[in-house]
Amino acid sequence: MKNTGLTDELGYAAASLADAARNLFSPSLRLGITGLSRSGKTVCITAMVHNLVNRAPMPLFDAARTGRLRRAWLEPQPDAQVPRFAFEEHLAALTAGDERHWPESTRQMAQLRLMLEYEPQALLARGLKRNRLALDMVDYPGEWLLDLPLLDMDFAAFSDLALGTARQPQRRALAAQWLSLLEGIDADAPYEEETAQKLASAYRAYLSRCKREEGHFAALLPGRFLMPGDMEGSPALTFCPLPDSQGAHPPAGSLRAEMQRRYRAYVQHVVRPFFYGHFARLDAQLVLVDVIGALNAGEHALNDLRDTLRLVLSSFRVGSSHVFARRIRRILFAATQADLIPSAQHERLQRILALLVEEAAKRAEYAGASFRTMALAAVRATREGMVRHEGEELPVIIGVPEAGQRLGDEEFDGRRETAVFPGDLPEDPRAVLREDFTGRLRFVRFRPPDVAAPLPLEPAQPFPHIRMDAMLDFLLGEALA
Amino acid sequence: MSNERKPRGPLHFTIDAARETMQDAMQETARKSAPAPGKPAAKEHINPTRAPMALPAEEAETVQPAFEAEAQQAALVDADDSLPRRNHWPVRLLGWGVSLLLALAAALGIDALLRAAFGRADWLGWLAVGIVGLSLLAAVALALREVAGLWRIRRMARLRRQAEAVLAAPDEERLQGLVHAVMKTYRKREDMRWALRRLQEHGTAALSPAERLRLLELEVLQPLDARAQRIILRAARDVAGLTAIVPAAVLDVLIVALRNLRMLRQLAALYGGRPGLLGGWKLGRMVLGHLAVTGAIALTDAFLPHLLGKGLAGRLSARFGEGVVNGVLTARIGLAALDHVRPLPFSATARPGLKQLAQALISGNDNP
Repeated sequence: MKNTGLTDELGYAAASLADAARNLFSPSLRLGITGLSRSGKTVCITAMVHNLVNRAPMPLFDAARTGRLRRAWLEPQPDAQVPRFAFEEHLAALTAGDERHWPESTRQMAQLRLMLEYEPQALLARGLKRNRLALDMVDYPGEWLLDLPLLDMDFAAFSDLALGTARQPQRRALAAQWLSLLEGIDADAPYEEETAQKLASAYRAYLSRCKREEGHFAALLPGRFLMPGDMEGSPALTFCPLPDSQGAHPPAGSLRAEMQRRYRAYVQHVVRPFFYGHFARLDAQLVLVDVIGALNAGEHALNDLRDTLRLVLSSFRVGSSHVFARRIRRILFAATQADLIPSAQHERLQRILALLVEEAAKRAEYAGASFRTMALAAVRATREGMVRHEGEELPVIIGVPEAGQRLGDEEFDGRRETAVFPGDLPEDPRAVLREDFTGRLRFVRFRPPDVAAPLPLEPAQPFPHIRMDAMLDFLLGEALA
Repeated sequence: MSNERKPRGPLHFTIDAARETMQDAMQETARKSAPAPGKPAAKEHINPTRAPMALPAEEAETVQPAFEAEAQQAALVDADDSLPRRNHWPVRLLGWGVSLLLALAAALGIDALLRAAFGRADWLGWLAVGIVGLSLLAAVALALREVAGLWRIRRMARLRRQAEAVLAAPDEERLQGLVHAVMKTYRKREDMRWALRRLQEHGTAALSPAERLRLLELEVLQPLDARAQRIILRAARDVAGLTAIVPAAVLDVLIVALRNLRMLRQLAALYGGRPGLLGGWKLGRMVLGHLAVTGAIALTDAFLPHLLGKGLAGRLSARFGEGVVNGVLTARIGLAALDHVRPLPFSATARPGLKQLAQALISGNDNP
């Protein structure tokens, strides 16, 4: 990678070594939960922890089915400076009776450690009483994930990518203001803070417009412009891509030189720590992809999503681990919100997902990691049914659509149960990249299922889910053997 | 309840749909003319023009795919993979002839006996008629039972072949049929109630038929596999022990044959085959044929030394070594039999290996 140096790699090796040493005494598994914004990372972690802690029935998770997984509980996480994942808050949001709602989108990084006590199968492990596994999970704003490819780009490459994307037909209108502002600026003129601020805020406005209008994923860069965390207003967050940066040697003190400097500072102080602190040393990775949401937005969104995933996933370290390099050995690609289509179509959804992540999966396999794809719903908001409609049996999903969601000329009030037929996914997954399916497919967002808030000392009601158990089995099965 | 699997009639007859119907027809004729296992599944065609819509929930009937909802007839292909055989009509004719002659002789004998009895006294004649009637009844019952046993063995073998065909070319509908067929085999078994209950408790957790099949193997067949291993181990130990002490070679052979036959019948009964005498015989022939094909019998001697430490047992005592060889052979036969009596091939669980069994046989550990 271009923007990382030998010291980073030495640090990475040292940290891997420290991890390996620590693992000798107390085994841990760092599970990376990767997903663009709105792919359901927070809900996934919340539901997973709730269901593990409360021993929900999970027949496809072998350790749970056979009763080898004895108990699970939360513990303070190892990194003292990272905020704790607000599990209780998110759980309360999901189980609030009539007020229940999906958790707010994540604004900052948070971590959680779950301890699992199990019965090892190997005689040696049983004899040594190595029966605990610490599961570390990290939640972060999905916007930040898009920054990872910047590690491999200089300012010119970043500018080309950002400008190229902004000039695409479906982005044009959104970027018009910023682009016209760029027209009237001489990048090699001496730097003025006022110009820089104006450009940066126009660029930021363009990015947030893309964000609001669903279905734009590519080149929403840099991620902190959308979700600044505690760095709002700092110079490292006040720059924007400039045209004709390729091969340019800007005069000292010019606008271009200053922008370039700020970009480097951004990569140095924001992206690098984010990557090395949280992504470089993972054991297993769960990649959540909101295929359903992209299908709602149309074929350009799917193409966008595919390109973005390709870029993002190429920065992960996959393959077999050794003491100086902790690497991802298992990757699970999951198409989330599988509860929004009837189960007979899950296979088609999975095939579309496979098409989107094909390249990353092949790379993982080649490097010696194992991967799987599946249609998943961490919290299942619907049940399935059958409706006779005009002499035809229609498989439908039944649940309470969120208030304000529309289908055809009907708008839902967020109270009434409704049976929805979302349309048929195409049999050939490639069709979704070529044709526009927006009229033929419509996925309505549903409210969370009515799960009672846990009462003290009483068995908590688990979240209904789709294949959460199969997911855990794939990601943790080996570590819990 | 079973509506979900029904192929949806395409309203708009697109070119694609027409082509698929033709393919179906072609496959149908192909299947009739040349029976081949694993007919590639005809993909159900979803009418691509159905628009998304919302309907009141009251109109919808909740249909959750679950184990209870499997009340469907197995939609499986009947695979007949028998090889063309040489026609043995002279042998068969001879067989029929001799059997008919014997039957005739028996009938004449009984007739003569009845006449003689009636000649002595009427009551004696009626007594003889009664006895003959009862015997006939018993013979018929016995024959029926044998036929049923044979039929069960055949059914298990067929189920197994179908399972292999379905797993080779998985398809939702046929996987579902397979799950149902296997569950039906165990529905009436008292000792399987617990396992089937557990399956039903999993309810809707496994959404796709492939996942249900996996759970079925883990919950229902895995416990049976453990029992099967104990049966095989016990038989192997008996054979090893007895052939080590029994002096005559003829007796050896008899012991091995009888004990193996008993093991096969126990295994078949365990997995739901419950054969009669003839069924056991047929199963024995199937297993031996299987072993002969895989060359397993010849292999046994060659790799035993690896297991036993370079023929250590044989050097200790020739008789003991012979016993162990016979025991391992029995274990081998038992393992091969699993391929015929277990309704599903091993996929979610590991196949028990000869090595484990042989080690358990030598160490005297009952739980391999």
